[in-house]
Amino acid sequence: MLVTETVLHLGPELERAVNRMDFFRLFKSLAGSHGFSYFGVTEVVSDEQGINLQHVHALHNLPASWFEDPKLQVIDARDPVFVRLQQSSAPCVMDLGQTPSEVLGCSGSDTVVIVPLHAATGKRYCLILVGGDAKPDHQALALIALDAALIFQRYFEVILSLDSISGLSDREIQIVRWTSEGKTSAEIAIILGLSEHTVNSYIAAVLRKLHVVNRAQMVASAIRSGLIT
Amino acid sequence: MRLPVSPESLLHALYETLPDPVMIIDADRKLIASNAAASAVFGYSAEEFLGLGPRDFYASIEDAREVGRALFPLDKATQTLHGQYQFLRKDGSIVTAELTANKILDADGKAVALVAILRDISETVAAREEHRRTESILNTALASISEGFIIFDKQDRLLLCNDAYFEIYAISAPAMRIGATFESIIRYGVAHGQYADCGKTEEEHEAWVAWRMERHRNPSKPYIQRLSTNRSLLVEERIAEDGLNVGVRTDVSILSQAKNEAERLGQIIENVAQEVYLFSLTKDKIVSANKAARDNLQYSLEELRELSAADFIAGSAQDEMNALIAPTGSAESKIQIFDTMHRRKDGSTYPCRVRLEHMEDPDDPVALAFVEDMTERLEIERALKQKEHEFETLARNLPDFIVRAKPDTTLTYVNEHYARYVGRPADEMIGRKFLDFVPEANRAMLIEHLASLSPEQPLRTSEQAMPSLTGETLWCLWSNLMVFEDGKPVELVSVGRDITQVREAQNRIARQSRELELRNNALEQFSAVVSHDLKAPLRQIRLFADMIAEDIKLGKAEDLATFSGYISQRSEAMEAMTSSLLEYSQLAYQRINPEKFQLSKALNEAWTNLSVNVEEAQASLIVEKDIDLYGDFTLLTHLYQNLFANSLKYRRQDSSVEIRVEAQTDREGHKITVEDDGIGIAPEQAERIFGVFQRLHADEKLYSGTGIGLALCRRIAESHHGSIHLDTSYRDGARFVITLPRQGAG
Amino acid sequence: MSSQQDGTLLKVLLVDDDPAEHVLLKRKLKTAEDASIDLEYVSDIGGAVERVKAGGVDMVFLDNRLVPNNDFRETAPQLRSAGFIGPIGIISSDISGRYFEKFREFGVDFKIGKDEIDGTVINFILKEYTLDQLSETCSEDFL
Repeated sequence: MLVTETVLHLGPELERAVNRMDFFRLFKSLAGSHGFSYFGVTEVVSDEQGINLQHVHALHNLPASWFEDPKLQVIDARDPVFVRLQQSSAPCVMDLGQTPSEVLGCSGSDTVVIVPLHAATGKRYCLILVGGDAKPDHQALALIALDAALIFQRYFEVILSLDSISGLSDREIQIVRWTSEGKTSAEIAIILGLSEHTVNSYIAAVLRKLHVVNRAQMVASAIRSGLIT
Repeated sequence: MRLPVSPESLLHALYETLPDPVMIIDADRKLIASNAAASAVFGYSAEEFLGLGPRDFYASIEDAREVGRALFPLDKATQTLHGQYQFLRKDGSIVTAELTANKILDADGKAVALVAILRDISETVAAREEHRRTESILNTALASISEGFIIFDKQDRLLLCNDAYFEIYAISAPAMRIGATFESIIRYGVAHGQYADCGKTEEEHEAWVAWRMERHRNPSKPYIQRLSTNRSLLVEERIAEDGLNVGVRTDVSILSQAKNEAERLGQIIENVAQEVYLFSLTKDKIVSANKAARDNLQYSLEELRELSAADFIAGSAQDEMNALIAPTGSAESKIQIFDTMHRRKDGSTYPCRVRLEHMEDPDDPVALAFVEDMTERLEIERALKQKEHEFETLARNLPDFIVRAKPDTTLTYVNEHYARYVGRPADEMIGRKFLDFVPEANRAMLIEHLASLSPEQPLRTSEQAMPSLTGETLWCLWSNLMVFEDGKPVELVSVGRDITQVREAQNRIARQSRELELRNNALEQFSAVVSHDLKAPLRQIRLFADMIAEDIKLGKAEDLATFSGYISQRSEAMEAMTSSLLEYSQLAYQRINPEKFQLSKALNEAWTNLSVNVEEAQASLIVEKDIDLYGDFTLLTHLYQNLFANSLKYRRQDSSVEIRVEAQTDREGHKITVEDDGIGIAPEQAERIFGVFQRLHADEKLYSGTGIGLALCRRIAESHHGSIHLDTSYRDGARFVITLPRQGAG
Repeated sequence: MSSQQDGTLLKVLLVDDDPAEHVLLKRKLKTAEDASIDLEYVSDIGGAVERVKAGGVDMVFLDNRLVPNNDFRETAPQLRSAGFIGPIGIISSDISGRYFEKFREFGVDFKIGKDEIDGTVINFILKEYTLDQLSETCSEDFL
């Protein structure tokens, strides 16, 4: 019995996604299945800050060359993409030929799909798809918006909502405990058979969960709350 | 006639000799004159009396005022006064007297004084009081006795009767007035239904009244009178010396009821279904017999009284009867119980059980016999025996174990089947505990099981493994039913059914389900592997084709040969795979056409099919022993062929191949081993090699293949209900062990 | 961008028993404009272990099924046992197996289908797995 082929982001991978790489793959699959080469997901913060796709929590596969100009680091308040996001919560297809966007103009194609996304906490995010030849019709846009919402919902639960999650996983507690004994990330990586990157990911997650900014505070907070002794 | 004395002196004499006090009182209520009697009664001398006022005479102020208001001042119209008042003596004691006061008028008719005459009535009052008290005591006494009590005077008028009498003759009560005649009272009673036996018609009433009056006037022995109120009275009457007629009524309802009961008992005996005889032992005759006896024997009472024992005791029972009666006659044993036959008038007989009791009467010894017709009971007993017999037959023939026991598991019945299983005679088991015969391992469970039975849930079942006589495990489904009566356990009925075969079937199904699941998993894995292994080269082919196109576009030529080389290589691999898959799907799911053949035949066929490779590898085949196989010749040939091919492929470089096949057959089935002296297979690969497209060696150029052969071998072995596995203990090459069931098995 | 801060090229080790995959990956790396990567290739896990022990490897791309091993659950821990603490990514033509859900328990950082790999993915991987997620101050806590 052969399993019928489905696009990646609609299959079991959505449920199995555990890290940023997995969500990168899901959003990329969503973009690719609708004919777009590039995507970007990031938070919509405020007028002053604009939309920063280079933010550490943003996910995108936009070429680095688009951001080489120091003046074009963010999609700022004057950009029609940003204006659209400020004014509407509905997904839309924008024609860059009529309303040029400085950053996204680098894609070379005129069509950009903007999908506003909303986290349960009230935070606003957006998915931007560019680099496609065709202009999605109404139905295609609806499908993109739906899939984007599903992936984003999971992305928020697994990755973004760490700030509001209390309690540490077993792995995280192990790592905090080793840190409290003075081990570096590299040493912990060897002890636990993980990559240093993964250990740092865990530490970063713990920092966000405990609302602290460095390892010393992390250890102190963990001891205070009885997570480790 | 002229009196010798003057009226004045006569008046004076009268005044002085009158036994009653006379006092003259003036208009100021002062005493102005009194006679000798007044002094005697009140204790004052005539002189002391003078000037005393009303306060000195009256015992109460109220009396004094009452009299004063009535008569004073003297010019009031009232001339006389009469009344009873209490007066004070000189010594302070009180005297009750009737006062009669008259005014004395002067010549003008004007009242000038008052003359008061007092009659001392103290003694009269005391006597009346005494009389009243005595009467009250009598009434109380009469009222307190439960017997009815009544007295008529000489003229037969009612003088007195007590409450009990009223209560007894409640219906006649309205007529019982003092002074009413006895006759009027009973006539009233008759008219209002007071009496039970006074008849209904006028004439009967008259006759009864006449009879009653006669009894009343000339009382003799007491008699019982029944009232309509269901009461029975003992009537006792007598004429007292002073001519008074005194009657006493005693309630004897209970006594007369008892008498009724004796009669009723007689009726009951007459009507009971059981036959009752009274038999005179001296006369050898029936004295009396009840209806059941008469009906059953078909004689009238008169006829029966003519019968002796021999006339209705059938056959030889007569002798027994005599023997039985004999000691009864001598009163040695008062009660005899025996079975006999009675003969009816028409000659038919019936079995009966007799309970004979000797009644002690030295003059005329009689025997009371209660006879129960046993026909029906014997019928029931026979039916019951029949039922028991049927149950026994059923229990004996049922393949189940059947056990009946007391609640404490003391056996009362075991069927033969269970007795045979236990290995003891059934009789020996009865009386012992059920638990004694339950396998040790199951006892605790059974105890817990039995303890849990309740009137709400009297039945529970459990499956138990029990060792059979032959030592095999027997699976038994025990149903334990506790019979409860009024919430108390009275009997345990246990039925054990041999479910060994059912269980085996269940196990077989479970095993098959597991196998099916394994096979499904294998199939799923197979499809996953196939899809993966076919997709992988396709992807590469596509990518290399794209690269070639790109390079041509860019005018680059140096890598084209490499890329196209990869493309052909992948295409060939895919062709090989698809062929293998075809072969696999054709063989693996082919229907098995079993036949009997020799192992060597299949081995030779397989060897011959590989002749080219055999020659190339300089291989030799050694077959140790030939056996008969039963299976699909083509498929099993394929199995050996694939194993041989494997051995030829993974041979040691620059070395000839020797393949050895050994076979043996035992109770379990056939076991065939195929071993070679090649490079062998790592033990950790022992299972993986049977998967589809599993390459064993990275360098497939050296050991070309499609990785489907061993998967097929396993598939063929399993479709024959056999197995194939790698002997991981073998180190000098690869050794595969194939097992196949014997013919018919599986 | 993807070269390390000291300017040396990022060394990625590809472990795959099919040499054609090496050829294909090399080609893809060329399309990743931001990536300047030094790709090395070995065909079995034994070779990979030797190579990481020798040092200098920054990242490993590991084929899921390396004959004769079963899957990454057998191979990835071998690299960790050899003391390798750089990122390990599993590349496979089929990542649908349920056991992929637990990849992090076996010391693996990410997984990706061979089909999914293109230039932008490689860019993302390099950026994601070479960038320290901890802030400067945090990293320096124990330095």
